[in-house]
Amino acid sequence: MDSMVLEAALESLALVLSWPYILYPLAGTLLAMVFSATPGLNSSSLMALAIPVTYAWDPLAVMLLFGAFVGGATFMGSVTAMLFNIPGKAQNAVTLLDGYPMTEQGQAKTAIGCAAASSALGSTLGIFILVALIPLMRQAAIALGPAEYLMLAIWGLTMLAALVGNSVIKGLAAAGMGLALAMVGYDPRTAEQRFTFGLEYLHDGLSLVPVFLGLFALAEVIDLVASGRETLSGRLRVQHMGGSVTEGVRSVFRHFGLFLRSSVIGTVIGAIPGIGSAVAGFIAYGHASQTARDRSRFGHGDIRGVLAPEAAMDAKDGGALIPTLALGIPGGTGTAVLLGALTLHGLTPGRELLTENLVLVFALIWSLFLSNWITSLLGLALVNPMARLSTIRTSRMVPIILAMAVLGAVQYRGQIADAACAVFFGLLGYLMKRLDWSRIPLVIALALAPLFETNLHLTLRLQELGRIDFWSRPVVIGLLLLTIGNLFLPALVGRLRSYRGGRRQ
Amino acid sequence: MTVGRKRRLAPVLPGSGLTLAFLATASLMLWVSFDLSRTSAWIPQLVLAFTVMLLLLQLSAELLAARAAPTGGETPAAGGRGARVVHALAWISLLMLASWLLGTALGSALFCFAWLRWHAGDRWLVSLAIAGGLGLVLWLLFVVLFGVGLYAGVLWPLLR
Repeated sequence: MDSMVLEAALESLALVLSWPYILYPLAGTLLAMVFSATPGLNSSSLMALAIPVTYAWDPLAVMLLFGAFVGGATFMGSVTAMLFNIPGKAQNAVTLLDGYPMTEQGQAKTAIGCAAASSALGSTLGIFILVALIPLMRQAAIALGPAEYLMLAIWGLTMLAALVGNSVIKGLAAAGMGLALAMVGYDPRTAEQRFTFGLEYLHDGLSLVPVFLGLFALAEVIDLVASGRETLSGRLRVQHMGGSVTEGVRSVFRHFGLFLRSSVIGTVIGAIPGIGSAVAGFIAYGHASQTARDRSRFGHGDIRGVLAPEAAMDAKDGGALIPTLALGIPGGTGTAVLLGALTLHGLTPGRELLTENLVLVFALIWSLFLSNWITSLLGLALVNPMARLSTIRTSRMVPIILAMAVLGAVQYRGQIADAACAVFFGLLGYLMKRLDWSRIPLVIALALAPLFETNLHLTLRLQELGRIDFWSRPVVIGLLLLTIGNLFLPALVGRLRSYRGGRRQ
Repeated sequence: MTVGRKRRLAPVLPGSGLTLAFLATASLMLWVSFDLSRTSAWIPQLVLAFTVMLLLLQLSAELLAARAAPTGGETPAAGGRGARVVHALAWISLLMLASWLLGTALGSALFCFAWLRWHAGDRWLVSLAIAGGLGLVLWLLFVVLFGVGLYAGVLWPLLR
């Protein structure tokens, strides 16, 4: 590791541990725990709600808070999965496969202890890999030009379209809509108004804050109301928990090889845009069950079925920050909202962030590290009250979240029209969720649009002037091939599978 | 024949409504983009032409799938869900109106009280306590802790 990186890491650690900055990771972790333990809500909703609140803060505080939001999100969702058979988020569904049978067998505390330990240790390993790669990321960010950034944006979008949701066409169309919506307002090059339809509100373009609040916070609340559930989890009481937390923690060290492999799987998957925690968890679970000598207990309360996905899902956070910080390509919704927050604070991921603002990058990493450990330790201590959150009546949670979302939208620029914009995107987000349109490509396209448009324009200008030769740049060609692969591989694999299925029949 | 066509298209509309809405929006934007200067128009036109093409493909796939699938009306559960969504949107509109008139802190607290008392059927005291608590937390969080002024609404300046 070069001395500049080490200096930044130490300077940042001193800042994180100083007063009052230490409060931000603590507060962020607690909020993320509450949101992730509440079925129907998620860390993206929390981040969207926090953007307007933090608008006037200094960037270090924002980095610390958002780092804690990313880190504190996964583990508590698994607690509701293990206790109620209801995952806090889709990604936690894999934990219930063996976690809930363990609860039924009176081993809830063992499962929670194992999940807490593998989650904290897995995230630490993921963060180590991220830190080890920072010098490389800096070099890459400096070496890349507009042509490479353009291809990275296109590759990132096609990757998401191909991997998220159930249709490449729908994913690409949603990304196209996101790019188009981002072009509303002044053209940065000509100052000409585009697609404003005479509305003054649209002159400066769509603000990301009400859009995020609508797509994530309001859409989830509308879905919650529409579901007609009486309580968030559908249960009224938390059931009795048996087993031993210590035994659960020990099991991680008993299966240390599996833990290491699962964490590496999580980090690698996290670094690929579009492949979320759910995939990381399921792949690690599949790996655990395939490599086990005795597979018969999987699905019936095997501790390895809790350990592997938890380690992978938390290690993924470190991996997901690699493309986000180095290239400005968010890996999922959480990192897309994080990217939006960074942009609003004048921080541009890539070259600028990794050279001029390295201390802030490390603040985010330290906060992520701290929050993962705080979540696991506090999660063990507060498992009972946190689990009770999911028994709160929906009708009491909804007005509070609605009020926070509308207030957040209005507060950002002091315009009531932003609340209307948030409601519009809330309805759109709800419809997209119900009709199987993934919101991720739309949101990430909105976040990536400036990178795409600026670099497309620059690349063509440089090509015209003879300053670059687009087709002779190896990174560009490599990314182009990967993009083509993203577009056609899923269809090819599908055809191959149906052909094989047909032959078997 | 008209009845047959209606039967075939009926199940398509709820599922394809969003695709149609996206298609209409993208087509409108593409149409409008021809009024822009060449420099400002070409990137949006490239993106929108591609998006319209994809949406047309998606719509045809949905229409073909709906033709192949057996017809069936809307289930009562789906109908109930739709009514609850409309209900939620009506309440959200009320929140926006209250915030616009009375400001975000008071508007949010009043909305919360109304929701808890008349939508959730909570007791007066519980509704008042939760709504009052929400208003107080918002004021403490924004005004006292972060020093950010809350949106005051249009009614108070008029009364002054």
